[in-house]
Amino acid sequence: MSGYRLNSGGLVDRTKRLNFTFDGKSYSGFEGDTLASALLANGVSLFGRSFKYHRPRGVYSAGPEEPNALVTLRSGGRAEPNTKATVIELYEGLEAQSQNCWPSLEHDLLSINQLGGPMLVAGFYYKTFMGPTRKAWMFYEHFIRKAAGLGAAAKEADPDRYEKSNLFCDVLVVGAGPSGLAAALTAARSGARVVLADENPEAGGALLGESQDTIDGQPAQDWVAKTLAELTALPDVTFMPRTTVYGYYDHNILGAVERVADHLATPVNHQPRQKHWTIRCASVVIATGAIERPIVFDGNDTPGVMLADATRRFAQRQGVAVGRQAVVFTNNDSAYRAALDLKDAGVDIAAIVDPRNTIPDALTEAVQTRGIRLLSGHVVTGAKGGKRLKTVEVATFDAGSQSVGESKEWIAADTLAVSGGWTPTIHLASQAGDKPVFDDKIASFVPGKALQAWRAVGACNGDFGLADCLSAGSKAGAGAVEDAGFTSEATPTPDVAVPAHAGSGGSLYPIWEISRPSGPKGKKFVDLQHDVTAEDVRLAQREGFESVEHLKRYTTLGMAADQGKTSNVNGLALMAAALERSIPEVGTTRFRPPYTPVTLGALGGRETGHHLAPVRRTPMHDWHVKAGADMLTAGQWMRPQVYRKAGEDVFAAYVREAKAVREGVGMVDVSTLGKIAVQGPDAQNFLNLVYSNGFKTLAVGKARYGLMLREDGFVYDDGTTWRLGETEYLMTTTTANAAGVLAHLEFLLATVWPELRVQVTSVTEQWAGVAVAGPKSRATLESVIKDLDLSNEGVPFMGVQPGTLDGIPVLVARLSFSGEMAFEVYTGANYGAALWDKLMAAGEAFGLVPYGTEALGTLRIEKGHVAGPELDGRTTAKDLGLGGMASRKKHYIGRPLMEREALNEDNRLGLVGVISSNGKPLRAGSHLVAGQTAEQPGKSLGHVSSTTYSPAIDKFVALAMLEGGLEPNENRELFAADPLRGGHDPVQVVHPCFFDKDGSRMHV
Amino acid sequence: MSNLVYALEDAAQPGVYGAAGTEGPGVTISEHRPESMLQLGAWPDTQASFEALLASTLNLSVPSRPGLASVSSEGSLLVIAPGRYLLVSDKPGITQQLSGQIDADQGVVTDLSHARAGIRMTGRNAADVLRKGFAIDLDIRKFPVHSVAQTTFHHIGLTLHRTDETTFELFIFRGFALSFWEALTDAALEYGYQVAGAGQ
Repeated sequence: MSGYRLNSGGLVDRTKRLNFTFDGKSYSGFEGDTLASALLANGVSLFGRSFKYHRPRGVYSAGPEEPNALVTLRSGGRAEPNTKATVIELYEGLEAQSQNCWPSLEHDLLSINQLGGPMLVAGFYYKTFMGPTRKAWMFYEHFIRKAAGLGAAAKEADPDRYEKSNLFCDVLVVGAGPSGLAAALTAARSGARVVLADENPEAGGALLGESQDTIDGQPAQDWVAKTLAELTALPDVTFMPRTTVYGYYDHNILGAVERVADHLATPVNHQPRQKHWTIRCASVVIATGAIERPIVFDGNDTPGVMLADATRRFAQRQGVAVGRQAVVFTNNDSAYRAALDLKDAGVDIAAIVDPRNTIPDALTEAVQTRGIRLLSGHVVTGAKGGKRLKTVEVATFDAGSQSVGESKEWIAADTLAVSGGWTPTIHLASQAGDKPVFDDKIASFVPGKALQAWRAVGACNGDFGLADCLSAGSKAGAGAVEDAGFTSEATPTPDVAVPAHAGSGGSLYPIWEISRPSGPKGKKFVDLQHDVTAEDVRLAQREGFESVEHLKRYTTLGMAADQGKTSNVNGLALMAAALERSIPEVGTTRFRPPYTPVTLGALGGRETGHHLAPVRRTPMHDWHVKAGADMLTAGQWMRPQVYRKAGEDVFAAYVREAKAVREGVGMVDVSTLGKIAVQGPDAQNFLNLVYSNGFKTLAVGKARYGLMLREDGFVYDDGTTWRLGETEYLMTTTTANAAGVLAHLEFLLATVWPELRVQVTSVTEQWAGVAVAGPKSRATLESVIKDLDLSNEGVPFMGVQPGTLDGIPVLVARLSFSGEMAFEVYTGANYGAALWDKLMAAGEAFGLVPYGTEALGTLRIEKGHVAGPELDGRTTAKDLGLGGMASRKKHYIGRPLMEREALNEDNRLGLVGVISSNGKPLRAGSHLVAGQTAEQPGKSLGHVSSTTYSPAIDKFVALAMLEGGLEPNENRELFAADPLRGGHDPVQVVHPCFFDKDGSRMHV
Repeated sequence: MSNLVYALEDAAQPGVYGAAGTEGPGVTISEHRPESMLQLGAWPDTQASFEALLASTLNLSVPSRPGLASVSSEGSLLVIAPGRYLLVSDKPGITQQLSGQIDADQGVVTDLSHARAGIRMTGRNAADVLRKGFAIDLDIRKFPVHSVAQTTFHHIGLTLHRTDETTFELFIFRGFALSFWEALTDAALEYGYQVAGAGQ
């Protein structure tokens, strides 16, 4: 066992033991552990295999920057790949699996990839694509996909809830470390609404677990607790732990994910697992801290090599020693604190290796007091050990000439704590700001100019000292509330005391990569997660990919799930060195959201399953469902397709239903038709302008079919409009175009004819409608409507009259879509179900049959009535045989462009009917051709739009659009060609009205 | 059985659902069935006289701008756009009364009594439930009592009226009412919700 739990220290609750498994093996840890700390405490050092080379990897960090220790958390539908062991909070029963290894983590066969290394260099995929032949990819793809990649997504549905919500505030503070807390406190004291979000389960940031720093004379941790208590006591402050603000979008809108129940095995009490927050705020304080940077050397990915501050955090927060004997390799002061704290916690520090010759006195004294060996003017040239670090190779370093000496010593160690300085976490600032600016003092980038209302403070702004963080935070909090319209009083800057040896990361000597002057040239990793080496960066440069954007895409540096949190700056530095330019000259890649990965569940929220999209139901919906109708969607509406009887298929059902209408009586739910109230003194004039046919002469109590054109002269929509009063009209539209027609009318009233006193209102939902059709429809209605004369004189064709149907107020309109004598009965939607029931009961004596959309279609096709498939936006009134509906006497929308030459050519596609000559069904979408065989169909002469079997004439028929229309083609034999689905069947061209051409059946 | 069947009659079954907390359900939800919902519209040049007529007939002062409501014993008048109002009233005969008073030169009355389903939601978590569906700041200082908004929740259009700090009345297109109810109650699960009988 190499790692262990320290006897004391840490924020874990040692009385609460938690059991968990990793790769099926049982372990235990404490409440307050992360998966990484618990495994380290159990002596586990091998966490996973690397992306390309399948090299053994351990824990590299203690936070969200973790490139190595990626595991699949949970199992089954709850499995989540690529979660970082360093941020997974331990819970009872946690299950985790290692990734990217087979057959096991210990014995991974694909680790042989390490030997084939040169093949897997930068640009591997591009080179393979362009390989010996293009077919190379086809051959290799299967194997490459098997071998590469991180964890696998679960194939089962996730049983947990994910939700989305909205949040508003004056000031959002991202990060609850010292800077963020100071900012939030100042902002909150002004009375502003403040949201303080932090990705960790607790506030404190770098002060979490800090035992030596003091603020205003009290331990820093107490200051954190006191500040948080003051904040959370205020009604307008919301503290959101476990909440990652991942994206900064326009108008100060930020995206955040709250991991509500990720720290539990399963969410309890209807909690979502995660909740996505869209945060809108006046001002933002970005206090996201900094991430420690590695140094690149041979074997720097060996398990046991990790960031220096991570070793300290495991000790401070979880009371875990990451090893027994450590070497610390640093180019700045900050890692000395790690060395000293580890030593004080009982870990043997074999040496501190520092390329600098001059080390501050406070540090050398502290080191000497503890008897730690300090190798200044030295560097680490290699780390060795396979699955666990065994030796650290050290050589002299001359800072003046920047030259590495011959390796002179191999130090035994199981841990190598590395610090190459600190990289500010500028993701959000970069998303909503100008180009980041290189700061020589810290050899990294700090936020550029803010392009939205934000301020970056603390370590993410390059200020690493605690006192600086607190005063900058407070100042930013004050500025932020002022942006939001509040006045702020200055918060006194607290007195800060930190130990003399608490050096900051700003004191560094920039060194990026250590190369031995001679000897072995092993792999030196820049991007640990994507296995990009220093040599890959140089190869990219040699092959011409010098721009940082090209470097990223060619080598995949910085592209993985960690988005290069530990590798970007080092990669840039190496490219700069290869180009012999400075880092700012080479540039930096900008960050896009998300800062850390966001689950698809959080982005989808509750829009899954039957919540995917809303469903629109008519008042009679439940009856249709109870009657066993096949329900189909029509836009968002649900409509009955057919009411199948036992043993019937859809065909048999709609044929029976359509026949019943022709022979007796049927009824159909037409509540979905668009309905628009057109009201006002100028309503008639308005209708006359929007329809192509005249509306000036429509009398009260009558309906008229209207054809509406678009401005470009093509047909837009059709329907009947009923005149209910002097200035009151009810316009009906097709189901599909209801919203569009309303918007069209509103647009015209708002912009074209604002002087017209007309109001249009959607009343689709106000009315339930039933069409009662067939020779017995009148008798059926007469049996239940007693206060209305339903004779041809009382309600003539196109007549509209109010009445009462067994106590229900109704409007009866004599309209026919089916070609039979028919009535549409409308009532208030809340009466719809009762109306339907009463009509069904009344119809029983007449053999009434309910029919669905399929029979509705059959009846209208038999009559040659056009609908959606014909009103497809490419047809004119003339094309559809409705030229007579286009008035020559008045102006209306669409008339000028309808008269264009091209819309009046003789060879335009015109509406015809076709009858299958061989008795086979026709398919919509088939092309009409003259060629006799499928092999030689000839050119398309048109297409079939609506098809059905016609019970009335016992044939398969269709409406079609044919070049030249009916006149030159009548009785012509053509073929309906359907090359994609197969089929080449003879048809005869006929008039589109297949049945009762003179309309005698509806005028009785 | 009544001839009237309301959109949420089957869905809104009284009971307590969702998370159980020590404080009891976070919201109470019920179907709200006003007698009448009327859209009233003035012409640009008649808005002042139209509002005067509404004020005297409904015994209230018409709010000065869209996004506000005024309430009296005659009903709630929601200003939904310049010169456009939604009257929600339980007064019998109000439709006929206003239709008689408002001639076409003055403005129009459009009956939407059947076109909307009403829902009333009240309780300490009412705003928490609603903000899951739309991005309107429901802080009482930003959206005070008798504020009105037209927005969408789960892709469904609705009109929202805050009647007190923790109570909201929602008017939804009838055809979407059940889908809306499912989405709303789903959003309320984590706080726990009680369904009360209609009109309570």
